[in-house]
Amino acid sequence: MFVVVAGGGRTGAQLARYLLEQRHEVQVIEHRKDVLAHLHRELPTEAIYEGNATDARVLQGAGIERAHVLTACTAEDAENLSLCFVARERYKVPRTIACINNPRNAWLFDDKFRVDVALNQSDILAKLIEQEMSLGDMMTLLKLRKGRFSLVGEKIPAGARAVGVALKDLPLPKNSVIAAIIRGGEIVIPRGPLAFAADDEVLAIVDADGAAELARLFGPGGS
Amino acid sequence: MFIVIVGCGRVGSELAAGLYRKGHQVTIIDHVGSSFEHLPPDYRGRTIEAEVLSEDVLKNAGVEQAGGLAAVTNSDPVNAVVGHVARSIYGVPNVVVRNYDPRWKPLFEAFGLDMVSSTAWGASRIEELLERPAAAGGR
Repeated sequence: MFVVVAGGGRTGAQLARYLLEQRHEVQVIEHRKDVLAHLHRELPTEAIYEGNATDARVLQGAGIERAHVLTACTAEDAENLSLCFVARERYKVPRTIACINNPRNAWLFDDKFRVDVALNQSDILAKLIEQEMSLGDMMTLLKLRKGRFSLVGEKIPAGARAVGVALKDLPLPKNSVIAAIIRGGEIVIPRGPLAFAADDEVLAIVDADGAAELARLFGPGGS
Repeated sequence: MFIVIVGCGRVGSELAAGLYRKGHQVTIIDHVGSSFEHLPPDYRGRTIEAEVLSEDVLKNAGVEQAGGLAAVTNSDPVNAVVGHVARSIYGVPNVVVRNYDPRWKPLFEAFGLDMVSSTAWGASRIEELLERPAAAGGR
């Protein structure tokens, strides 16, 4: 895929590096001299396009007309919105993604400005922090669907509510599924009659509400 | 007519004062409170200190009832976004935006907004006067 990234700040640079690792073609557009100096240390020269992304000639020079995706991650929300709109309306870019700098501007990041996907970084971060606070020793291994679901893992301590209870009798939260149990270094496929034991490692996929409930079942104290 | 102006710099304050003197109902929005000091003392229209892109700021300014809106901040992207929102979401019949940096002109055209490119217009007018002083009318 060919991805044009407008703005080479932290998010843009990190994204570009990741995309290049995945063997995508990338052009990062950046004009700030200090940011460019930093970019040149992080990315191969051919992935960097010097210029202001809001300049039509620069966009065209970077190849916007054949881009599969435009990712707008400049530091200014109004710029990101305008870039998505222009990418779709003028250059027919099939997919647009924009970063939101100020959460109060989030309401604009949808079809109004032809934004297909909006990434509200402070919002995602705030939700993740809130989740982590309520989870105790449960570890989040992977976030899915922008953080709505997680793959979590917890080693069951002695005295947890789930110890000695069969999977089929455990009051699991609605949006959750036990994916695997690691017992004595071996993977055990979770089936209904299987009872949990202390020191089992449980891997589960849950949504935000489910994670907190799961932490209460498998966490210490078992109250 | 009820007119909303976004940006109370030199252009915005001048515009607000002029429209107010002609008897229009004027509301002017700027995110820096001290910007309203640009307004002349005889301006009695409404002033709103707020970030114009935040949800409900334009709505609370009454933009849905406005007959016209001018986006004249010194940020081209903000003018473009405000202009597009005013026209396509709030249905303001007459929207004019200020183009500050000439490089932004094609982007405004993509939005299909009526714009005034004061920088480009000023430069070409000055060029004209320098080249053909005799043609300088209105002095």
